Amino acid sequence: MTQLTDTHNNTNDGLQTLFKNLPGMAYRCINLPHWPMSFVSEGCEALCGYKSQELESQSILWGEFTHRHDVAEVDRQVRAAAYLGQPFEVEYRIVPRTGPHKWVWERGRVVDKLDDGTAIIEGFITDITSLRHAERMVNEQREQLAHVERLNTLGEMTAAIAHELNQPLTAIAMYSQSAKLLAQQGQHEELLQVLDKVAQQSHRAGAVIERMQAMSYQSSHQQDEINPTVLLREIKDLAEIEAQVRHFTIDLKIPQYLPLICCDPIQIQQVILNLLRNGMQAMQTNQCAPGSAIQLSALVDQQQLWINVIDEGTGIEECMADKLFLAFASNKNTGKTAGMGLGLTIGKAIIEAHGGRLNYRNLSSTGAHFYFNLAVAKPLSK
Amino acid sequence: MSQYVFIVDDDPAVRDAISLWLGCHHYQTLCFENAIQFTQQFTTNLNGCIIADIRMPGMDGLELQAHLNNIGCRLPLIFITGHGTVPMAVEAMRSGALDYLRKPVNEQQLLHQVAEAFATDQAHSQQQQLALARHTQFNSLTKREQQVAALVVDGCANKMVAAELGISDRTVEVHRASVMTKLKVKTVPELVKTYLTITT
Repeated sequence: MTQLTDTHNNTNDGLQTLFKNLPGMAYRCINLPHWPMSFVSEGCEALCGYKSQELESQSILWGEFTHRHDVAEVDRQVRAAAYLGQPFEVEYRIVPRTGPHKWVWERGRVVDKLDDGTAIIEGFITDITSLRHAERMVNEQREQLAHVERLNTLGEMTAAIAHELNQPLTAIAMYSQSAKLLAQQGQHEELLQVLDKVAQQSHRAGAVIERMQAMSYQSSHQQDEINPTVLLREIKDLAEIEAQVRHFTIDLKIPQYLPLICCDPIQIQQVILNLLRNGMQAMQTNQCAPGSAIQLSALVDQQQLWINVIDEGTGIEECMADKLFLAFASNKNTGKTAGMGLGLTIGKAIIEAHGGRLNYRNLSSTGAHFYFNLAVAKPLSK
Repeated sequence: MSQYVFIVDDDPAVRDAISLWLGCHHYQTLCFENAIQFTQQFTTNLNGCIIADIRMPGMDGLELQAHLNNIGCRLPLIFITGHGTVPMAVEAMRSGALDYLRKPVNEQQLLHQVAEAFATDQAHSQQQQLALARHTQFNSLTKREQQVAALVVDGCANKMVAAELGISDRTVEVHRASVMTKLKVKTVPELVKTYLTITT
């Protein structure tokens, strides 16, 4: 602080005005535990409830405000950046003098070193609590919307199927009861006709079910030769959005060349996206540290392309193992994220419609490994 | 009087099966593949009941019900539906449907409902016939007889009737006797009762 006022006397007033108008707090501190401040701008009071003089006198230390859950992470990032001499950006919670905790965003870098080699850091801290709230609301709404959408589709499908099936069932009930009467009355010719009609109606009911299945996998007839590298990169980009929200990363591991596969790319991407989502949800349940990675990889073995999704989540419980692929069995039965449990069932059906198998195993450490195979369209020509 | 079951359903198999089932129980049936076809062939002198699907292309079951209510059709209506909602059922029943059955329909329940519908319909038409007969009787009265009847029902004694109409007591007595004979009543209270059912 002394340095600042001494050397920049002329511009001091201008700087003060500038600092006053900042939406946050500019600081200079020594990279020691709890970061003793040698200078903080006026914004400090709005941020933590203490005057700049109180921090500058070092009777209060900035590090004491940091939320205890975030202390380790902030410390790690700042230390690493200081060691490498790189700028750092961290988001963490602080507990101000009064009121609930706040989310802050901090950016800083080493500007100088003391004689003993301790780094001097300058940076800026600003309140992002409202931004965080908005983000959380958007996420919650997005999740609710996805849930409602799934429910709607399911509800509509059920109603349509019920109607289609109830017609032949009504006819069958009437025909068969009539047949009974005709048999008792010995009207054999009419009886035979009615029995034929019963058979026709049961075929009709069967056709409804077949059509329903065909509808679900309609596009799998329109299979194209697809480059799995492109497919996997696309899906990684798509899932990245969700990963960022959850503070995880997606680790895509694929060999340089992958052979073409014959598939419906949208459906296969749906399956992979679903696996990645499930994995990330499990990782969140398992309270994986921010920055943890979910792995998406591919390899070719005996004319089969194997796609793997490996998470560091809670793994699959014994009791769920048997019914994991049944509709409505869900591992995510807590609160708002309770799933409908259709994802894996549909995924399995899609992969099997492509002639592959979707399976999983629990990892010995932690997490689950889901994998499936698809036939290679053309062998790689070297 | 012959009663028919009018089956209105867009599904040919359902129509055919219901028709066969009811036919086995000696009901006469007529099938229609949509509500409009039925309304085109419908006349108010038909007897029996209607079995209609709620969800049909074009005019749906509830619209058919509203139309029939409008034109004064009193045939009992039984709804059958593949996936009806509660509000639909409420509306149907409120508008006077006899019952609301879900597909797949229980065949015994259907028989039961048709029997009840026929009984209701028969009661209706008997009442109608009685009313019709009364009207015929009433119309057979001469203008003077109708005037005398109205005054007697109003509580006028013969003298008052005579004064009102400007005719002799004796003539009133003759008209009054003729009214009693034509309307097949013996006492004044009976006359009042019959008169009121006809004119209201």
